[in-house]
Amino acid sequence: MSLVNNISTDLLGVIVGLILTLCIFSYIFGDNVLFRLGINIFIGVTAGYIAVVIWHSVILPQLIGPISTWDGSITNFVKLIIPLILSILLLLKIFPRLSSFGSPVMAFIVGAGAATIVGGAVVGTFLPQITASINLFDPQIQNSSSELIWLLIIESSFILIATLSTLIYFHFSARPNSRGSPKRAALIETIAGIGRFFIAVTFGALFAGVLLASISAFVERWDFIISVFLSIFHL
Amino acid sequence: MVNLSAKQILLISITAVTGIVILSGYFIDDPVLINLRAIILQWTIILAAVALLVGVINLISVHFSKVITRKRSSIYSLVILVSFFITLIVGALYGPTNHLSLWIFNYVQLPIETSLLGITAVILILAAIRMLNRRPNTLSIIFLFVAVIIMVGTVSIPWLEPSLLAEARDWILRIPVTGGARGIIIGIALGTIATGLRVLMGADRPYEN
Repeated sequence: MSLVNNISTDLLGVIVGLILTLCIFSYIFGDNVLFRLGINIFIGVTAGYIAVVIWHSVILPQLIGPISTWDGSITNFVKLIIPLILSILLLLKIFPRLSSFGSPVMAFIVGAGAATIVGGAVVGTFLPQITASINLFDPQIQNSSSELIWLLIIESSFILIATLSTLIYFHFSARPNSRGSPKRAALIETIAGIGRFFIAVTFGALFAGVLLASISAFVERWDFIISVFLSIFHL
Repeated sequence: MVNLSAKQILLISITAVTGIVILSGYFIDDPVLINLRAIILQWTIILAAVALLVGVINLISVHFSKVITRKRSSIYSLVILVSFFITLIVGALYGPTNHLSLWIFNYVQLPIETSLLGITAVILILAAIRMLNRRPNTLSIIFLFVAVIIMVGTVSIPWLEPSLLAEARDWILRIPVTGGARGIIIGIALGTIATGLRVLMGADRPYEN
C-alpha cells in the first residue's frame, strides 16, 4: 500500500513539476498569466519555507528552547531574556503605530551587521587581494614556478596594470572644465580608458559563466519535459 | 552642524557602540572583548531571524489586504497566500526535513528555480543581441568576443581545434580577468568599508525608516 502511495506521490510530484516548468517557460513568449501564476506560487512557497526554517533552525533552538530548559543561572537568564525582549520589540514593527519601538533593535542589528561587514571586507577581501597582488612579484614564488621568469614578470605586470586601471576607472572625482561641466584629469581619463577595456573583458568572462550555467539548467529542464512526455506515451 | 533629536542620538549611539565592540573583537585580542562580541553576534543572529520573520509577516499582510479589498490582480495575491499557508502548515506540523516538506521543495520550489535559471539563458542571449544592435562599439564587441571565447573554450566542438581555444580561454581567465576581477573586488571592498563606516558613524541611518 505504501509503495502505491509512494508511486502516486512521486507521479503527482512529476506532473506538478512539469506543469510549473511549462508555466515558467511560457515567459519565452512574453509575460503572461501562466508565468505570473508560477512566480506567485514560488513567492508563497519560498516565504513559507523561510518562515519554517527560521522557526526550526534559529528561534526554537536558540531562543525558545534554552528559555524552556533554563538552569537557574542568573548570567544565562540575562543572556536569554535580552534577546527575548528585543525580539518582542522587533515584532512590534508589524504594527505601524508601535513600529518606533522596534527602531532601537533595528539600530542594534544594523550596527552589528555593518561592523561584521566592515571587518569581513577588510580581513576577508581587501587584505587578501592586496597580498595576492604583492605576491605576484615575490621572487621565491616566481623561482618555484616552472614558467620562465621574464614571462612571469610580464604577466604579473599585466595583472597589476589591469587591477590598478580598473580601480582608477571607479575614481569619479572631477573638476569643472572651462565650460563648467565636470571632467576628470587627462591622466586619470586615459588610465580609466584602459580600465574600461579590462572591465569589458572581466564582465565578458562573467557573462559567459552565467550563460553556461543557465544553458545547463535550460537543457536539464527540457530533458525533464521530454522524458516525462516519452514515459506518458510509452515511447 | 546637523541638528539631531534625542531619539536619533540614542539610535546612533546603539549602532556605534555595537559596531565598535564587534570591530574591536576583530583587531584586539582580549578575551572579555571576544566573549562580548560572541554574545552580541549570537543575539544578532536571533534578531536577524526575527527581522526576516517580520518581513514574511509583512508580505503576507500586504497580500491579505489586497485579497480583502479585491484590488486588481488580487488573484495572484490569493495564490501567494494559499501556497504560503500550505507550506507553513506542512512545515509547522512535520518540520522542514519531513518527506512532505521535501516533496514541496523538490516538486514545486526546485522546478521553478531551475526553470527561472533556464529562461535566464534565453534572456541573456536576447540581451547580448540587443546590446550589439543598439551599441555596436568596441567595448561591446570585446565583451561578446571574450564571452564567446570562454564558452567555446569550455565546451568541446568537434570541428574546432580544442587545445588552442582552451589555451586562449585559460590565458584570458588567468591574466586579464584575474586583474580586472581583482580591481572590481577591491573596489567593492572599499565601497563596503566606506558605507559600513558611514552607517557606524551615523551619517547614514537606515534604521530610522
